[in-house]
Amino acid sequence: MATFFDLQEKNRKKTRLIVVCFVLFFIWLGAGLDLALYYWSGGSIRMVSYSYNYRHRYMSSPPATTPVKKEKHFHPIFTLIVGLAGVGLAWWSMSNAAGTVLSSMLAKPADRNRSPEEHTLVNVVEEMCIASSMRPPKVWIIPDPDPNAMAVGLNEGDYHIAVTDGLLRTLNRDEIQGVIAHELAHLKNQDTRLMTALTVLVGIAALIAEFVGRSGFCGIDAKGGDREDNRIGSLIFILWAVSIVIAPFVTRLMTLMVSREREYLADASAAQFTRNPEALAHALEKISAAVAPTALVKPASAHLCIVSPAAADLSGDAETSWFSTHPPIALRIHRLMTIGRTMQTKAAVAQTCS
Amino acid sequence: MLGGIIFLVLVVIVAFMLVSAYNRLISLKGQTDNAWKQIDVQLKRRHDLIPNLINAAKGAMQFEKETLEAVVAARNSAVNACASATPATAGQVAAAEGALSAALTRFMAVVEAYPDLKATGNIGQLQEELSSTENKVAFARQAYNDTATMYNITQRQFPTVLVAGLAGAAPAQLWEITDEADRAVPTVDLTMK
Repeated sequence: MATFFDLQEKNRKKTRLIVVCFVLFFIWLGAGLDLALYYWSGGSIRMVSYSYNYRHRYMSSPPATTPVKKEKHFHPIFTLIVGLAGVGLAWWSMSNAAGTVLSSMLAKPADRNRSPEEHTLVNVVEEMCIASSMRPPKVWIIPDPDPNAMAVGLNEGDYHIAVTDGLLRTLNRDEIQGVIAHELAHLKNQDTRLMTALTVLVGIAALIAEFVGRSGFCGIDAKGGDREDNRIGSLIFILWAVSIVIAPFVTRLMTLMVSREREYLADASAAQFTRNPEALAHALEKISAAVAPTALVKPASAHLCIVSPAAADLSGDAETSWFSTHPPIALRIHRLMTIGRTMQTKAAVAQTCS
Repeated sequence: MLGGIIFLVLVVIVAFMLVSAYNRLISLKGQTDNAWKQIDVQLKRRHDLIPNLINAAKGAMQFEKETLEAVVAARNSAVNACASATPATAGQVAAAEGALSAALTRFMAVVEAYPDLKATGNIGQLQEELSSTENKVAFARQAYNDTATMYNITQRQFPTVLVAGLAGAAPAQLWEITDEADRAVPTVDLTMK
């Protein structure tokens, strides 16, 4: 039996592990080629391609009759290029305002005087901010009859929570509280920042694969140098080339794995804030019972929602799809109910022992 | 030579760890104090809300003078208890706030008997504000307990415990229900007398 504190700790460790693997894979994408070239630099290598003749700068082309054994040099050119591209793209995407996402969904700011439901919503957000020791974010309402909620924002001053009309009509106060707690947990755990960074890396991996593909690379002309080194270099090169080809696929899978783990983390954090996990479980049931997908949310923002807005994920299938941004709802409900039972058992034990 | 470098690197790493442990303790202490003050903020908010509530209900509920007066009296004694509060009198503050909660519950029960009041007046909104305020007080206490627990745990963990004395870290007291009567489930007497 796990308390929400234990679950959060386990979850954070798992996320850290996946992200470390992600970063290592990425470094490999940049450094692999440099490593291969390092091993080859003992001799003279000429890479041949249709679009341009690539002449590596530290090799010459000595006459074939005298094989020259040269010093090996490690020039981390590609690692640097990849690194700089990564930093540049990351900075560009982080500076994009959250406002663009919200306006694309026709969201309007919540006003406590407009209707009793909005009044309740604003109060619930304030309550959950007190419970989670956070400053209140801006609250928005999306005019969609399908119940859903999302959290956007990268910096502490710029947090937004958006909720659909359908959600306010379908759920009671406790359930709305659970949903808002879940969204605030995403903001508090900086999931939006993590997912943005990973998405950027995925984009770069795709770019690299594209670039390498387009360079029309078609062969290596290797002469001279130490044969053993050349073999190692070739082996590393082949591994690197394969990694490049599968990079977009693998990085996307990793990002989705992280996304699912963070959903579980947000559920456990919400249980901590409300101390009422059953309410969130009921809310998830009600939301998943609404069959229609949320039309206004674009697929690019799907991972920010509490329940996947794509129709395919609402089927209630208990199988974990590898391509889903959210874990299956049945599993989430199960975990929340387990937390609830743990809380009740502990309270009962404390009662009888005191 | 190499051994010297490794030793230096280790020293730097350990120093770094101790500094970040110290900073973490300071940060948690600040958060704990903040969470404690937050409870006061929510209690005061509740005190300020009650006059609005009474005014909204006064006109329609002339026959319920006792109930209204009970609420006002409980509110005033709670304000006094909070104003003269010291850590030693925390029990009195808790008792006064508990009495106020009980008076408010009776008041809201009486309001149920005036359907037109609920429908026309802005008492519906005030009811929502009231239950939200009660929730906020509860969540403020919960957040304080969570933060204080985290602070207490971190103080005693290794290696933070090494710098705990230096950081002036003392175990924070959790907010608990001291009056056993509060823990008892309220009984509802439904016999017709």
